[in-house]
Amino acid sequence: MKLTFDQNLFTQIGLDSGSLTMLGGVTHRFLEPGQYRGVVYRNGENLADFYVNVDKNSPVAQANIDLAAFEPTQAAAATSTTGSTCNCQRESAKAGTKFEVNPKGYAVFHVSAGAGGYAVRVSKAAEDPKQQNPFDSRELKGDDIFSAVILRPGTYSATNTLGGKEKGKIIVGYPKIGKTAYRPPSPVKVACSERGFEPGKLELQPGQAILFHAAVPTRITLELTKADDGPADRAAHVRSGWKKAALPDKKKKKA
Amino acid sequence: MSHITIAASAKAFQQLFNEVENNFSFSKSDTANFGPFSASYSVSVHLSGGNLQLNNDNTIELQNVDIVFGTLDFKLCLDLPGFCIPSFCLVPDPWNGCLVGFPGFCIGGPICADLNLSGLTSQITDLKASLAPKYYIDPARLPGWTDLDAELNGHSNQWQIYIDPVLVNVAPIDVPATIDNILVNAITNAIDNLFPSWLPGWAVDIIMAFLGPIANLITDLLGITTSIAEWLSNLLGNLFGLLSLLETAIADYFASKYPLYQFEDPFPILPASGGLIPVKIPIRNLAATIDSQEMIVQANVGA
Repeated sequence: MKLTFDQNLFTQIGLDSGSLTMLGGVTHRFLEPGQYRGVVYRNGENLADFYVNVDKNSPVAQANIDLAAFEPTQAAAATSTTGSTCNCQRESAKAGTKFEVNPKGYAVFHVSAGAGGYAVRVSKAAEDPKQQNPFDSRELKGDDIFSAVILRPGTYSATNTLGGKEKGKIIVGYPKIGKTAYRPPSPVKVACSERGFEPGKLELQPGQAILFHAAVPTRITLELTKADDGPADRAAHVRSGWKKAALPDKKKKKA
Repeated sequence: MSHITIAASAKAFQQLFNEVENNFSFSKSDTANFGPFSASYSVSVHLSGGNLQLNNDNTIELQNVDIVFGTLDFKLCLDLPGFCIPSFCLVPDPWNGCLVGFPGFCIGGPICADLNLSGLTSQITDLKASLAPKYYIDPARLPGWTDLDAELNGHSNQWQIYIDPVLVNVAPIDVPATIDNILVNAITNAIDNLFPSWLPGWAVDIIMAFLGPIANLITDLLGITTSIAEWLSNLLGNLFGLLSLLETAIADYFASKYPLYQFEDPFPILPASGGLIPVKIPIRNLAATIDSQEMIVQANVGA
């Protein structure tokens, strides 16, 4: 038996809004109705295209677009290309897949498995470049949101590589086993402006999400500057192997 | 009036019964899926001790006989929900709901824990029976054989006296409270062994924090509302139906598998000697009764 594990969850430490992984996603609103064409990039290379129909009559308020599903084959996505050991059953999106959303709704670009490294560019199907109103996850703006989840405890530096003078500081605490199962607190909002990040310093729990709202052109990178490996007396993890789980021997009853 | 009357005292009867009891064995294995978990067991059982009482109403009563699970290998498999990155709200709506959510995902997997529960016990709380004589015709006996031929070939007919139960009650399996720790340790072990070697220590600690206390995890996953000991006793005894199977097996065994007493028919009076064939008398109309003092077997000599 194996635990279904995608090792990328625990081996990819930093995040980049322009190179999405399982722990990061981008949300965008297509305000103008019409037909949009999107292109998915992995590590800068064109991977697949898709279409988004933004329709006022559409009941869809949220279109979840899994970028990992555009990998050519699930097998490739789950093993060789991504280095994942996950055998999760994902629906594979073929090139040219059509999505639909209401102009008052949101498109959420996320990565369900694998090593990630995705970016997405979506523009309106119009000849005039001024009317294309492109969205590029490598340059967030307007109402765009970069949602990031940090698992690895430690201190991180947040940077807007497209501007913003001040760097942000994020401290992710070490997990504790409590009396109940741990669940991350609610996400924390961070505004990205010309000045930098507001708030500029955050203290989070592992797995707690941060929502970066892009008020100016934004590409967020989160970089681990100091790892927190827990208490010094923390017991090292070792396989316990097979142990006999048996009732203790009972003394024979006296007749 | 019967031609033959044989009596066995209560003490002699007890000795006869002990042999029947000591010969009982029952083994069974089964596996079943109960939704959130699956389980399997392999069991072998024997009987030990108890109080035998002879009654004047032509019955015997047996109480407090230990049913000893000499072997009870139990395996419990469940789907570990594992470590989940829960979905979270990106854009809340004005009514404290969520307009846009980030899709969450879980990682998990099946785990199994093997428990050696050998040595657990239950009890026959009550078994009431009368005696039932049966005439056994050896199926290996050929049609043309005389009684002498059958004896020489080891296939004589037999008179057999069985204990014929009218009721059997088996108590729930007695699972000690220490099973809580044993199960928690076994599940913790199974989880520990699932972690791949490359997984860093902080990741293990996060996953274990998400899982929470293992005892709570087990009770939640298995839907245990009582103690683990009671739950396990109920699972084995009632959900797997082990108590009913035991009751049926015990009743069937006493009634038809191992006679309390048996002897061949015709019954040898004098052995063969000096070139003469043995002297044997046919036994007919055998009846076995009991009272508080003894077992009485009566029969006639047939033609």
